[in-house]
Amino acid sequence: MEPENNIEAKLEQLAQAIPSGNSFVDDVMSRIITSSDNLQKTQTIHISLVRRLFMKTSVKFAAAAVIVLGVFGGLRFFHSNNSSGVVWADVVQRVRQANAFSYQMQLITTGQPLPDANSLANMDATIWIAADNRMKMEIKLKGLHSFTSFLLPDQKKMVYVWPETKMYLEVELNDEVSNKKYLSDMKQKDPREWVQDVVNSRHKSIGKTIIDGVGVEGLETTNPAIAAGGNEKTFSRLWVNVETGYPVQLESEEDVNDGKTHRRSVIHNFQWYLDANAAGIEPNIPSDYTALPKGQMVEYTNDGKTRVTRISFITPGSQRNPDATAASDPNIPSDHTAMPKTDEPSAIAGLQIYLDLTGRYPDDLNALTLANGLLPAIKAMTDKMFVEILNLDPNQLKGLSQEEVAKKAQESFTNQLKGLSQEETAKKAQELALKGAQLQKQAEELSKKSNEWSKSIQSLAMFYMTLFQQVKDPAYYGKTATPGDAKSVLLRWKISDTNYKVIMGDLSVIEMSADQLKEVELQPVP
Amino acid sequence: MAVSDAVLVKEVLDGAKDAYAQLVGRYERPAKAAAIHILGNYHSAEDAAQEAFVKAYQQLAGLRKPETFGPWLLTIVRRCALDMADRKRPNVSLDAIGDMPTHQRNCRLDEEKQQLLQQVIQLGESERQVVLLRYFGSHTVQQVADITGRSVGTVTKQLSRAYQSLRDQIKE
Repeated sequence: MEPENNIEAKLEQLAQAIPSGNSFVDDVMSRIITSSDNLQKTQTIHISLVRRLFMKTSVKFAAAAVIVLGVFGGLRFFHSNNSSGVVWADVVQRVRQANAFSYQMQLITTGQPLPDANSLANMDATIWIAADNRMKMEIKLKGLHSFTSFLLPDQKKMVYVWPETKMYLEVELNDEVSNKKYLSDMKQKDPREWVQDVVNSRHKSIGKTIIDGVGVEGLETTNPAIAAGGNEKTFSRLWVNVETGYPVQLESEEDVNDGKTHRRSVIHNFQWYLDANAAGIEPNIPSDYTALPKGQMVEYTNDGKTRVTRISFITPGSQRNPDATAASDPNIPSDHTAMPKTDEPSAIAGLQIYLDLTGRYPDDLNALTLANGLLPAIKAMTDKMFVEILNLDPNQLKGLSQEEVAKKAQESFTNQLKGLSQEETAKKAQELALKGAQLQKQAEELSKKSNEWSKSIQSLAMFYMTLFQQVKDPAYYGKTATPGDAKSVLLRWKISDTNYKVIMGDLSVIEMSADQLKEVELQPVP
Repeated sequence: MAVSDAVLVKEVLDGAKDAYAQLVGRYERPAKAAAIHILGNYHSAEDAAQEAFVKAYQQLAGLRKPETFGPWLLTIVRRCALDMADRKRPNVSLDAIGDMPTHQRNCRLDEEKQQLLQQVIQLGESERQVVLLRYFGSHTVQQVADITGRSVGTVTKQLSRAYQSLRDQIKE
């Protein structure tokens, strides 16, 4: 048959090429219901539907059966093909009412590192949110160290604690900082908001499956506004327990960086019924922890558009009690309280120390980034010290926290004394005591050096912040400048209307005109 | 006998939202087809169709002639699809199709089908509605007549005119 005479067959083929799914009607009706803020309307729909079905005698039995199922299973039905077991509007309502809960999160970034990549790109975290909006995050950075952060809105402060190096940092907050912003800084979102966004976005049903032994039903959306990154090529999935109606898992995936980088985020292990309150989320910092100088959140803009949040140090600090000063505490060395310098040589010294310890320049000069970069180096030195003095196997210490390393050392001591005669024990104990003393001495030296390094990077962060505060048009290129390269710009700032001072990759300092700078400078990384 | 669009619209306006589910099921494929015509791929078309049904539901009380629900809905689908195309313009460039992964290319109609769909969409309003319901909605001629509130004879004539128009365009 000629094509022009076969038009009906062609129309049939065209129609078959357009997919039709059982979930489409359900998805539309679900969106209609959830677009309404008034849950009462949902009830009205159920009642209306039940009434209609009863009026039709031919389907009376079916209606009765569905009602029974509805009562026991919470089932919703809009048409005969519907197999959904979850009332999505109820899920939204349920999580809105959850005001104290916890969950775990994995963030995995693969492929080419992002231009704005930081140490938070790959991490495992456990998060608690309390009824008073206090929040605690225990964060384990992949291949690096762990730290805990606390958001305490009632005290207008955040606290970062690094257990492995026994350091902590308190940061004053302004009124604008909230849980939302806190999570946003971590490239994450409040799960309650996430659930609501998925349900209220254009979505499709992705059916039922089992996660961690729990029967779940899912929705998927490609709304780019939902993923924390807001990227266009993204999808988010919400899996809800078909029995309880509570979210079990949230997932998002997105391709960024022109498809060269893939980000996956999984939120799961929810506990929606926490009896948490302010008392449950408290830093409780041990007395032997060292305080970094107190900081404050500062927002600034360099280009008049992009607002960046940065931690700026505001006071020197060396002890946990902020009311006690070093001057009144004879146990604290006087140099401990000295305000870190904010001059150019101190900044260069800070860059040099960071480079020596990590083998690269920091990605940015935010105090938290600097601390996160430095701490693994200090941890590595501590491990090396244990390995050398106690002849421990370095492989055994990989991935262990400072406390776990100390425990290993103790075990090593105990094991070496096992099965020895009295005389041998005495001799071995003497040997171990010497090693212990040696270990203590080196630990004290390392601690002292750590304080000096810490102060140096504080100087660096403060110097950079001061340049912003003085509107000296500073720019930092730690991601692109090559260590040792006298031709790549590392840091620059204006010293007059026409001239700039520039620290190069080899840490040499030169002055140049704005025109000269343009020639040698790479484009700033946003 | 299929319930007409007009009756279902009235039932929805009376509070019976399950009647709207019937309308959604009835026009799912026609709506997707209209959206694919503009957006070029299934995934976006499904999104646009969903959005259009939600908007149509919200604006249903403003529909003066309930029997024109089908054409009216397709107008909304077209608007939603055009809006989406504007938002996603960089992503729907035909030039970019060659660079797309195979699975994304497979989410599109082939050239011949896309051309036929375009011709269907360009039919007159009455012809387009009966073709979409007959083929994309998988309804019999009798059901199409019931749904549109027209006689079987009228629907048959409209289908014949549509076939002829499509054949003429294919010849050209």
